[in-house]
Amino acid sequence: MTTTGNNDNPVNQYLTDIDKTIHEPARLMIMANLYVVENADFTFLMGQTRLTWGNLSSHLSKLEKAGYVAVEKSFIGKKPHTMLYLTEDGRSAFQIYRQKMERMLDELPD
Amino acid sequence: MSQIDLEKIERNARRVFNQDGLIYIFMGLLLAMVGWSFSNTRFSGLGGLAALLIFPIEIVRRRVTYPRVGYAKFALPKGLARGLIGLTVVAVAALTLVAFVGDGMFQQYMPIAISIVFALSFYFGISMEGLRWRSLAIIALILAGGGAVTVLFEDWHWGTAVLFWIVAVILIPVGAIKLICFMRDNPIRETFAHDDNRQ
Repeated sequence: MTTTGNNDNPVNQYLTDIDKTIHEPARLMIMANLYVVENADFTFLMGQTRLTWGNLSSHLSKLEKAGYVAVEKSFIGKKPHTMLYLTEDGRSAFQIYRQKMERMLDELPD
Repeated sequence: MSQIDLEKIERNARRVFNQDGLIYIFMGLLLAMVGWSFSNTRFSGLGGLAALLIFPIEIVRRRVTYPRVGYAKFALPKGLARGLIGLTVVAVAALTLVAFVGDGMFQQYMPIAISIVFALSFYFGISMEGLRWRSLAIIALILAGGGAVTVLFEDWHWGTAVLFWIVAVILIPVGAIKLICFMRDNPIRETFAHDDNRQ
């Protein structure tokens, strides 16, 4: 299928360049919530994003695979505990994503 | 499509950890003990010891709060260090002025001076989470309490002690109610208590 869209349109350009890994709403929520903290555990993220355990787990796997989120497993007493934080790549990718989105929104007509 | 409001996300995230009311209980116990130290010179050491209460409060937080809402570590907010230093300098200067200038002729105003310091500290503490009308009402109540105690008590030691106790008597039950509501609203779920990222 071919498209006849206007490629000179800056909005289209921004959309083409946008990071698809972050752009998915659930992953965007995860990234934004991890961006405002140094680190957080799985329970905290579940509460903040309102995602189910399975959903959060699968999105985190994708973000981890992309190198945006790091996972550290440890034990508190006998209970396993998982801490998550944004990597340097993740932080800069999120900043770039934000800038692009803001620029794109600025370009849109009122 | 709206832009990503990171400040709002951070405020919401910070608010989660103040829902448990433990900080109110801690502040209430702290003020009750400091009040005691003002009421009688024999108890003057209690004021300093009161700060140690933070350790049992932190233990309770680990057992009650984190298993329910999880744990997150926040970076120090921008301007926090500068704000704390500024607040401390203002507080020490104001209280020293009231206590020692003019051979202690202003000592009777100590309760209102302390209530101003309380109000500023409270304002500073909650400004990170966003101001609400309820918070401004509490600030007004603290200042009004300080003014009333200044007028009613001739002995500034007792006046100050009573001011601390009044605030403590308000804070401790408020904290306890918040803690009960928090525990009721946030039960520990089985999946939360065990490994939370089994993949």
